[in-house]
This record gives sequence, C-alpha cells and structure tokens, in this order.
Amino acid sequence: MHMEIRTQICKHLKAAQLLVFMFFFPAAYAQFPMFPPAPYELYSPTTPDFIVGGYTVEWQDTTGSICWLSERVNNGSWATVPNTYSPTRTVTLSRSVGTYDYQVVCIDDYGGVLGPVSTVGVVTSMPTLDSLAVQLGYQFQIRTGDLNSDGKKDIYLKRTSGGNANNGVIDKTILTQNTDGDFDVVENPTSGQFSAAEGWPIASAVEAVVNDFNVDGRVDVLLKNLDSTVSNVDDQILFSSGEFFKGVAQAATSMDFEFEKFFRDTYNWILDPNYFAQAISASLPAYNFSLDIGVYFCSYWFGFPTCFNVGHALFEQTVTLAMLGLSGYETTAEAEQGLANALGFASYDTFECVLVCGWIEFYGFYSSTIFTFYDVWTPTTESPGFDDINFSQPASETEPSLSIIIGADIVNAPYSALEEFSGYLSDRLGVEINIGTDAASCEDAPKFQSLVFVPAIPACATVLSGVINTIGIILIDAAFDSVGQPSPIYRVYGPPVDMVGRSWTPELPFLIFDYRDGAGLPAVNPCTKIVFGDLSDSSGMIVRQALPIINQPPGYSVSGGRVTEYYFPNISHVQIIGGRIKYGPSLNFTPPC
Amino acid sequence: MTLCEIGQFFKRLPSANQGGSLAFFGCWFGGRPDGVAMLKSVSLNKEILILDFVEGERVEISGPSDVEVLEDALIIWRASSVVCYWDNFGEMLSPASRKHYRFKVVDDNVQVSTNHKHSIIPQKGAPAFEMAWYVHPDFSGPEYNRERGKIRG
Repeated sequence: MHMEIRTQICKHLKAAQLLVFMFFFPAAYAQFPMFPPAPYELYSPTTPDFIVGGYTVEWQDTTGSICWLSERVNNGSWATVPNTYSPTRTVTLSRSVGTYDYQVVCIDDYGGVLGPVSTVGVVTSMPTLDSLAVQLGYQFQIRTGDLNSDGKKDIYLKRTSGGNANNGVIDKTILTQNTDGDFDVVENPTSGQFSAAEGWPIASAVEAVVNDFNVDGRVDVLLKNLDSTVSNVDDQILFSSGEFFKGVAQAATSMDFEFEKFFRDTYNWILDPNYFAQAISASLPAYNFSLDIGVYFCSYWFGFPTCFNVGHALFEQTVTLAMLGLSGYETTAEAEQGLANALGFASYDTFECVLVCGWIEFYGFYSSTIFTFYDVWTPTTESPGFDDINFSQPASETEPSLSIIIGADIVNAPYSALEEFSGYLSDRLGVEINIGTDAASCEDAPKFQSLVFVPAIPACATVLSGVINTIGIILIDAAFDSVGQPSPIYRVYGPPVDMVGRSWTPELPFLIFDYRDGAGLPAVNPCTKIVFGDLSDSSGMIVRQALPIINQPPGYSVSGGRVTEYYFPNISHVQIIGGRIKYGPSLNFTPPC
Repeated sequence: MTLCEIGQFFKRLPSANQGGSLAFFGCWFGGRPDGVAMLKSVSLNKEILILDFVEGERVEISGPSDVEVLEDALIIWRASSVVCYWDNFGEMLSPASRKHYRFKVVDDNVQVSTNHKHSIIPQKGAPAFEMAWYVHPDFSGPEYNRERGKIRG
C-alpha cells in the first residue's frame, strides 16, 4: 500500500519537474522537436550471394552522419566490422565457411538507424550446374499430406536423383494449399517439417514432368494429374529458385486455362515465328454457337390463347471463321460483318435474326404448337486445340482436334444443329422433317417457310397412340391425323397421386380459377403435373361436377366442384394400354391450384 | 392360409383388375380413390408380401391374413404391419429418401409414421390393405367405407 502511494507521488513530482524545466529553458527544448526527422535512406550492402574465399562488401552512407558496417555470423550477434567508419564505403574480407549478414548503421544528432541486410554464403566450393539435357533426367518424388492441419492436402516435392542438391534446381520443397486451391511455397521449412513430410504417402498417380518452363537454365517441375490425389486443384508448375544453395521452389503456379494458353502460344511461336499472325487470322474470332429450340403449346379455348412451354432443347457448337477461309479481321464487329457477307446476308444482325425468326406453328382445332429458335453467338478467344503439354512433339501432332475444327464447315454448323433436332423429332414422332431456307432477311423468311414439316406416315395417330409421355402427341394427332380432331381431357396429379386415374376433366386447368377448389383435389395431391388424354370411348364414363373437398386443405369448403369431371369407375377404362384414354404428354407445371 | 397362397390371389386376378386405388387401414392412398396403381409384380420375402406397382409404389405387407376377393377389390383384412413407399414420379429417390407410410398394429391400435408432409389417421377395424379396381361414383370421395362381403354401391 505504501509502495503504491510512493509511486504515484513520484510520477506527479516528475511531471511537475518537466513543466518547470520547459518554462525556464524554452530555447533548449526548441532544439529537440517533439517528433524525429524522416529516417535515413539506407540501402543494403552489395555482396556476392555465395563465394569461395575472400570477398568485397560495398555500401553507401548518409551525408552528415557517421556510418559503419555491421556483421553477424550464422545468425549470431551483430558486431562492428573494424575500419569501416565513414567515409569508408568498401571493405575486403576473408571469412571461414558460414553465412554472413551485413548492414549499414548510421548515427547523428537524432539517433541511430539500421539499414537492410545482405547475406553472403562462404562455401568451400561452388556447386556445378548440369546442362539442360542432363537436368531433364532428374527424378522427383511427390508426397501429399497435411502440414498445417487445416484439412487441405499439402505437397512435398523431393529430388531423388540427379545433380548437385545445391545447384538451384528444386531439391526439397513443401507447398501448403491455400483456401483458393492454389499453393504457397514454405520459404524456410524446418527440419521437423521436412521430417514430417517424408512420412507422407507417395502420390504415385501424380506425374512429375520436368522441363525448363521459364527458360532460365534450370528445370522446373510440372505436377501433372495432381487432382488425382488432391481434389479440386489445377496442376501446378513449381519453378526452381535458380539460386545456388536454395533447394526450395521459387514459386508455384496453377496450370489454369490462361496459363496453358500462354505456354501453348509461346511454344507454337518458338516452332513457327509466324504463329501469332497465323493464329489470329485462323482462329479469331471464334464463336460458341448456342441454339435453344423451344416447344410451346397454345390453347385457343374461350378465344384466349394461352401458351406454355412444354420443352426445349439446347445445342452448342464451336465454329470459327477459319472454317470459311475467312481471315484478317481485327475486331469482332469486322469479323461478324465478314461472316454475314460470306453467308449472303446484309449484316450479322440480319443473319442472326433469320435464325431467331425460324419458328413454325402447327394449327389444331383447339390448339396449336409453336417451335421457336433462339440463337446466341458468343465470341471466344480460345485458341484452337492443344489439350496437353507435350514439348517433344509439334503442336499440330499433339492436337488432332485442330485439324478437325479447321476442316469443318461453318455454313452447315447452325443447320446441323437443326438437323439433329429434326432427327430427334422424326424418330419420336414418326414424321419427316425438312429444314431449309433461302431467305436473306426476316421479311424474306416468314414462318412456315423456315422449316417444313411433312408427315411421313398418313395414319400416324395409330403409331403415336402407344407412345406415352411424348411431347406433342396430342398436337401431332391434331395436325396429321386426318381421321378426326382429338377431344383432349386433362388430369392434374402428382405423387402420391398416380398419373393413371379415374378423374379427368375436359376443361383446360390453366383457365380454371383456383383449380384445387374447382376440381376438388385433396391436399395430398400436390398438383404439380398434368397429363393430356384423348378420350377415345366414353362408354362407362360418368359426367358430373367434381366432388367438393371439405377442409382439405383447411379453408376449403365448397358445396360442389365447379369443374366438369369425367369419372371412370372401372380402371379398365383408364389404363394406358387397352384403355379408353390415349395418354398424351405428362408435364411439370406451376400448379394452378 | 400361407403367404404364398395370398400371393396367388393377386396373380390370379384378371389382367384388367390387376391394379386399382389403394387403401391402408381405412386411408385412401392419395386422399381419395382416384389414382390407379397398376400391379407390376408380386413377390415374397420371408413373411412379407411385396407388391410393386407400375408408377413406382411399393407395398410391403407383413403377416397378411384374412384375404377377401370381391367383384370390386382385393382386401387383406389383417396384417401386423404395412409399409407403402413411393417416389416423385420421374425422379427416383434413394431408398433412404423415398416417401413412405408405415403402419404397425400394436395390440388393437394402428400406429402410423410417415416422412410425407401429409399424415393420415388410420381407422380402427378397417382392413389393412385394399386394392379397388372398381369404385362406385357414390364412394369416390375421401371417406373410406368397406364392409365384409359387400361391394360398395
């Protein structure tokens, strides 16, 4: 207690003493500003990295200051190097084997400043560096484990044979995986970390591809198929430090798309100085052609056309101007205009529009079907070909797809997609579909001319009646069955309520307000699917108003359903095969309930 | 009556009647006798009768007895437990995630559990299982009604 009081009194006395001193000696305090001046601009001494025998250290000092050279050996204590005080700026030293750090120290009226450190390695002999041809034969081993216990696999790469361990090529290095899936080099691994990594399992599925990727005279290592052992990561290139006595990697780089492209282009350029000029004219711009074909069903009941999407197909294909023999365009706009010119269109927009306008409508008595086409051309700068790094072969041999792409025909590319789709429809619907247009603009490409659908089988309804869940079955009936128009009936269901069922309605559910209430569907019917049917025989069928649902779900309490219901007491009337209903498409839809 | 003999009842049904609206302990599957499950196969596994249906439902009846075949339905009046599985149509679920109703007879009571959002309340004295290929329009509502030896309507 007494000690605390004494301490407090001393503090107050010291503060009072300082104030009195400043009052009587203001000039003296003016010479010592409250803040120190800007620090010296000191630089690290110039030294060799590694040396055998004596060496020279050079440095700079600061005018008005007294400077000298400070040294420490093997991370020991700092000491002044004799005979290095200003104005001396160089000294020749001879030291025994070890690691020596040097820094400049200066002092003036404001105090002392330490400069950055340089390091010299004094060695008995310098390691030799093999020729690149010899380095290519170096062997490496890859192990994976979790160094920092973060749950992510880390990598340990060790040279198992070839060359001097200190020759600046990777000898032993550990890389930790970061949160982005990239890897960071552990700069100064401890012996304990190396020892732990030596115990990790060997990643035999990962291939160590040795090459001088950065052309610095020392081989680097590509970890190929790395994701076979470390999931969700790109292959990595580990670059050698290029410094003697530094066996850890200088850096690790992910072999992502851009990186691959860089190397592929560089490699091709080395093989052929005209590569870039040719590549630009041959492959740019390239397009990813995407064609979305939609199928819509439209009903004209009550005079109000109601359409909904019943399916679509997406086709994609990569095309290039090289396919047309077109080249020399410097911008995408120029290339698109060239594309349009080559195809005989006034502009690229017009060319694009012809495809967009490529739609057709089937008219039925109650309804119609519309096929729509939406095309998207996405320019891409991706170079053609080259899936793999294989520097022992010319690129043209390593990537056969290059010739495949060049050999393709851009004129047929969009239509081949349509032909594929038409083939699909032909197989499913038993109709022949012809595609073709000579139109040069939207105005010249009216509907019905862009695509021509011709029934191949006159009585195709017979063929189609056995098909379940095929888009357009009812509508194809309407279009091509010359026997008569269908009488569509509908059933709304969903698990656990079966598609096959006793209750149907001739009223299009989409036009019924609150269909659950109107049709009396219990709450357990999720009302997520609809099936079309063709009533082929009404014998045994009971026509009535749908039964009411009472408080199922809560709140529903009606005196009777508003929807006309076709009720089939006997299941033989509603079975898919042999029944009296021909089942049409079953569709997912937003419940009208 | 052995389990095998009960299975034969299903197999001997006329092909037009090999299916129907299903009910378990007085609860119509799907809320009312509207949906029609067509029988795909009948099999036995120890003391369990397994019925597989075309649209993916499976019914497993343990210890079935007291079977009645009428003109409108096949009825199993008693069983120690009944389980009904089903998928989202067109979307096959894993066995663990399939929807189900599990009925278990404990003393005179029927306990039911389900992973479906709509639970059901079993009726005391109702048959454990029914497959109705004919349902009179007057009995097509959600209420379940079945008397021994009598056709509905």
